[in-house]
Amino acid sequence: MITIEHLKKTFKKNKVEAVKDVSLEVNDGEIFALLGPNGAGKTTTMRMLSTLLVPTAGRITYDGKDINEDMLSVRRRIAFLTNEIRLDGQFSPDELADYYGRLYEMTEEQIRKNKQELFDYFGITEFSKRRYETFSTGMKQKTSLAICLLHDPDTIIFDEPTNGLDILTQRLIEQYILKLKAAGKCIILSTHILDLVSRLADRVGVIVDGKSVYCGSVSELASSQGVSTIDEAFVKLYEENHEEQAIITKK
Amino acid sequence: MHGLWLVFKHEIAKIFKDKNLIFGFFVLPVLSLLITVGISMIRPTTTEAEEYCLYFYGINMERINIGELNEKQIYVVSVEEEPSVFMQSGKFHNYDVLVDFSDLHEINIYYHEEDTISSYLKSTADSFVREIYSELYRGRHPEIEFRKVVAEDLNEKEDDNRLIAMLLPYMLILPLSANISNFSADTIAGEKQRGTFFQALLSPVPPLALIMGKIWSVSLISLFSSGIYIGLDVLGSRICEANGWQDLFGFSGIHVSTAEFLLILLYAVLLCYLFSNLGVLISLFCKNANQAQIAQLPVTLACTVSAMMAMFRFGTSPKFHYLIPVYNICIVFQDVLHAKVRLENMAMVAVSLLVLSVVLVIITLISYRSERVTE
Amino acid sequence: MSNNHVLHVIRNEWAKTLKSKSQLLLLLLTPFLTILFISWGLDYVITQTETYHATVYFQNEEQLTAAQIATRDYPYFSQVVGGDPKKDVTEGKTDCALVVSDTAIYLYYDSEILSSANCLKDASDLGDALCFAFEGEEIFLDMKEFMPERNMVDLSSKEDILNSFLDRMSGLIGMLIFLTMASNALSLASGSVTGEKERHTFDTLVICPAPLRKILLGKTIVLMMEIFLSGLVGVITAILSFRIWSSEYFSTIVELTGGDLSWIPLLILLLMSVTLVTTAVFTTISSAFSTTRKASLFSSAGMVLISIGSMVPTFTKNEAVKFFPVANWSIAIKSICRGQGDVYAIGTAFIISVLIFALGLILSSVLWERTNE
Repeated sequence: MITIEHLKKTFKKNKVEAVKDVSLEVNDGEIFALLGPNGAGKTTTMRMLSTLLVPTAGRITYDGKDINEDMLSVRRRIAFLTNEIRLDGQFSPDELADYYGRLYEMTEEQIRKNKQELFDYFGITEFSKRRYETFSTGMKQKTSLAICLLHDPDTIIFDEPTNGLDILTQRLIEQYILKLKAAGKCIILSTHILDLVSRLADRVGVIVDGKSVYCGSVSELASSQGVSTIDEAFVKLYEENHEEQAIITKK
Repeated sequence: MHGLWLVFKHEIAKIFKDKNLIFGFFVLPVLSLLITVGISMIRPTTTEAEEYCLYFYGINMERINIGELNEKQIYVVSVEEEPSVFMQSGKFHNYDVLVDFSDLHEINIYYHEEDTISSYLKSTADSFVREIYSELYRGRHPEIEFRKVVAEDLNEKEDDNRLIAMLLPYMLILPLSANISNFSADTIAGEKQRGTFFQALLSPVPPLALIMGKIWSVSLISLFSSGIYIGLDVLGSRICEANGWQDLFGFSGIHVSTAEFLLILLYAVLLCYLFSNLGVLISLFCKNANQAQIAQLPVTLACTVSAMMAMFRFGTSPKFHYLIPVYNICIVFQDVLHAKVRLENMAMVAVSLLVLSVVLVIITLISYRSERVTE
Repeated sequence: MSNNHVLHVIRNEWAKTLKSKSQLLLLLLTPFLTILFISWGLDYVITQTETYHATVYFQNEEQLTAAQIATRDYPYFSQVVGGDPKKDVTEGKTDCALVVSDTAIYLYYDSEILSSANCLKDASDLGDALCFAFEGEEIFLDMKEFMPERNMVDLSSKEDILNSFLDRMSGLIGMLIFLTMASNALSLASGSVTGEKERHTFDTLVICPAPLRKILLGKTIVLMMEIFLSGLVGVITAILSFRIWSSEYFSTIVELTGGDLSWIPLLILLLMSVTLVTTAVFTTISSAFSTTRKASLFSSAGMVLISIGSMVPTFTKNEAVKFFPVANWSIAIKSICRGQGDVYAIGTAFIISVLIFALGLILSSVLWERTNE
């Protein structure tokens, strides 16, 4: 379970307040979708959750434990998948899995077992000895996902996991996400595809201008805004909460 | 440390997976060496002196050999022409010296300061004149048993390491700093640019292990690469020496004991570590490899400058010079090759390097937390 | 219309450089600080080693007292009673040792480390003086009277004195200016040329209507300007350093050149030759690779070769060297400082460098236009 309380992030370099006040709660065995327009602070929030960034203020806890208390043990239990993170092109998926598996202090037996399972599921086995740099976008994404999940994390943070993928690969990943949920994992998912949200997510959080403006179930999102679809609910939340837009709307 | 070894192995493996990098780090030094040797084969067209002369005017002396300089004999020769005439003649070269005894109370010694040979020989001429007069004075007082000056060269080595001592620091530091600059710029900043840095950041490997793994991989590869260059140079000299060929590599007659070699290696390792740590530290704050390389330029050039300065160091240095980073390693290398290394100087160098290393590691670890690392 | 492409690229590339103030500062500050420091440093190290430290070892205090009449003229000789002179010499505690015994004065030195000729000469002179000093003040003074005055007459002209200074400085500082220019060229070329492929912005350039070779020409021109600028800063700093730390040589140079400014175009021509060659080398190497890492690695080798090339005059006295860019640097600088700049040689070197540049440009175009893999 993840708890985020009044999270704030101001980048010192350019004094940008990327995240102003975000509070969320994500439970185990749940898929939580993080929505928001471009520049809302979703990626920054996720990077703080994954320990890549240190919050300026606020608190993040994993199962009641503050993330700052023991960052290394938190990292053992989480996985973060984003398009910005790449793998070394000179290595094959096999070699990458061995390397990262050992970094996560897995035994050789665990590495072998998990690797086989994930590679088989994502259809990587056939290419497991080929260099990563020779793969197509889809293959790279699948390989990254497999490496990311190799250590069997409790919490998985996905930043637009199906971005740029074909429909077949998208479905494969979606099914896997559901499988992870069934296994009791805590999943946070950021996407612009609202259709994906309605299909997969149990709960949703909306961030506008660095602040969380909604946190609740997907099914209640539309009704809470007095509209019929998630799209309309999202637009309405944005209009009401985005500073410039709010002024225009009022006028 | 568990993670350190894994990261280290992974970084080394990256090099060996890339043919271009293998070529760049291990084959290029060989090619550079061959080109250097090729250039040194260019023969000069002007003739050089066969001997050096101290010409004496106003004194009748037989031509005598008084010593040797740069493998050329030094002769004392009497001349009958007036100095002003003789010096205009083609027989008097810039590297010669003329001593005018026409006034026995005031001896003029003519030389060319700008010519290093002449500048050296003027002192020889001066001493020779003094010795002549001292003998004459002793002759005036036969009743006194004057002491005599007996000179003894305590150098027992057949060959000396002066040339290698002058050049080795520079030859080591230039390729080393260039290699390390490239490699360290790529290992953090380049990886940030490619996006491969963050996956390791997400793992439970302690920051110290991650950073050290990268630093030591950079150090080792660069040390190896520079070692190939120097090792081949020495090997080339040995081969030339063994076959009686002219040595184009410049290391002939140079012999280093095992202990000296190990000491040189130790300092080379420390130097590599320092450069690497500094390179990685700078790289942490840069967004891409190119930016990191530019940021490292002052460091690379400062190290090259230190090595250049050491080339002009002769004799002993003040104690505090052994605390100046990089320069202290250069002069300790020279001391080792002269077999004049002193424990206290070595200790000063070791302590200064260790202190600097620890400080750098601490700064690197603190900087690691900066948001600029993960931006 | 087609020339506008080149101008647009030049403007764009300059705008990129100016936007990165830290990069610009580094490009200009690095040569300035490096040259300033080395000019001071060389002087400092050389003067530190012109002095020496020697020791006279006496058997007893009486000898020490008797010797004062001789030793007072030799400030670099310390005096001790007893001690282990051979050990002190071999361990480097003293540069040379004069050891007084009842029958002789022994002069111990180690030829391997003794590089100060003055030390050995002074030791020999002092040793000789001590031989007389121990026989009493009267004998010593009589001997001094007997000894003729020795005048050192330097036949070197100012020009000759300047030569030895320039021999030392022009080669070394020239090499450092090259290294600075080459280091900057390495970083700039790999960022500007290779960087396009690495950042995947190359594809955008390929599909735009401007021919790739014109884009490359624009980039190369800007590179050339930046490298020239850093070289110019290096040269100006070198002149400034001479003015500050070697003012007597500087005055000689001014005297020999007669205050005439005709050396300026020659110096610029010389610098341009180096710039053209450096730009050609590093642009060619950068064009051949699609990642900065590989381009930098091979460019480093180029940098080492260029610095070796600049040292060619130290290996050979071959007259032909003065016609080749980079290799002719130290010879050309010496001739310019002596007011005897060889226009013909420098001009020929410049023409050769232009040819090298043209060749480099053609080769770069071909390499850069290869498919980005």
